Amino acid sequence: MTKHRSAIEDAPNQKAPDASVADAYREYIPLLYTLADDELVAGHRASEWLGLAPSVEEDIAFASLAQDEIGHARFYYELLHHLGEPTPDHLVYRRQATHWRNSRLLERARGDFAEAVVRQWMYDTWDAVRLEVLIQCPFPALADGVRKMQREEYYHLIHMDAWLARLSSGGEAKDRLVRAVEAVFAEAADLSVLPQELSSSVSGSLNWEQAELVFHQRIEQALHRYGLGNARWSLPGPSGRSGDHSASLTELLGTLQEVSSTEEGVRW
Amino acid sequence: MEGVKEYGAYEVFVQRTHQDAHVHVGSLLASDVSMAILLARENFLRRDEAVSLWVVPRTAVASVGGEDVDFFAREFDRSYREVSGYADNALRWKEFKSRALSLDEVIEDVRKP
Repeated sequence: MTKHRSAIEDAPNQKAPDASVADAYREYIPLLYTLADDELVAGHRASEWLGLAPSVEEDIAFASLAQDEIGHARFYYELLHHLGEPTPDHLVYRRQATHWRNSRLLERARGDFAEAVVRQWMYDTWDAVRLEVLIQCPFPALADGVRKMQREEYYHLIHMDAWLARLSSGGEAKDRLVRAVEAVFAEAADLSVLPQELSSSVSGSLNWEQAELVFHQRIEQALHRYGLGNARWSLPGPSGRSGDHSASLTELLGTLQEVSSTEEGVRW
Repeated sequence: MEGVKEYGAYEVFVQRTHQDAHVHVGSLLASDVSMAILLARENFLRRDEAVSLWVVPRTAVASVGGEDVDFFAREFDRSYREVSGYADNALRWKEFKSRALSLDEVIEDVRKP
């Protein structure tokens, strides 16, 4: 995650200086991968709307939200690095699809704008609930980051909700929105799934089942409010949380890693 | 949402710090004022810091344009209204302050009631 032209760091096993202090929180690593990868993949897909959104205003706005997501991903990757994982650059530019832990929903190829709105709204709704849980976790560095993130995510959710309210007013927009809801529900099953590698002491402390209930309630209430029918939660299938991804992630990584994969130690 | 809405133009003003005035930074098209605020946030607050943002429907702006030339006319000499007479104030003040005070002047100043 370099800010400007610089080579990706190719020292994946180089530990951060305070790694020994951080060892106590290594149990959070599997969870952090899901958080980081969700934000990065969501941000990447959102960034694809640059130049394509329905208006120049939304074009910039959607890209700005995408940049926020990338910023959050960067925070999580840096936290992972502090816990002894490879550098953020290595994690983003050198990891193959099977090692990514993002939800399959977020890697889905860009559909129409209605689908982008529904997907981002669904994800932001889940992310808001998830952050409400994580802000109470006994890992101070994570809780602090979550507090900052919530201030931005609040406006992401309002932004997506504003689009949902307007597109659901009728006509072609509503038709597209209904189709988008269907498509998004078909892939949303792994969104709230915890990674299998997560220790029971961490997963037990998170009260994830309650979070899932709240998530479902918020989605269902909004669908009702905007006349978009009933929720159609799909049964758990292949899960991105176990590295079981669709071809869309490979395609996404092909773009994201196109330059870094041209040669070892490439600079751009 | 009631019926189809026309997009309208909104003028955006940003106040960078509490010491600054709101400055016009641009305009945007939006379906309504709350959408205009959301779009203005992402379009005009992306980089620099700010403390306040105004979004004004362009229809709410009363204006006088260049077609009313008399409105903007300057027929007579207005230099007497300008502050140029004070232009060398800073220089005079500097000279005054740099003048060394004599001992007598200091004593006189201290004795002032």
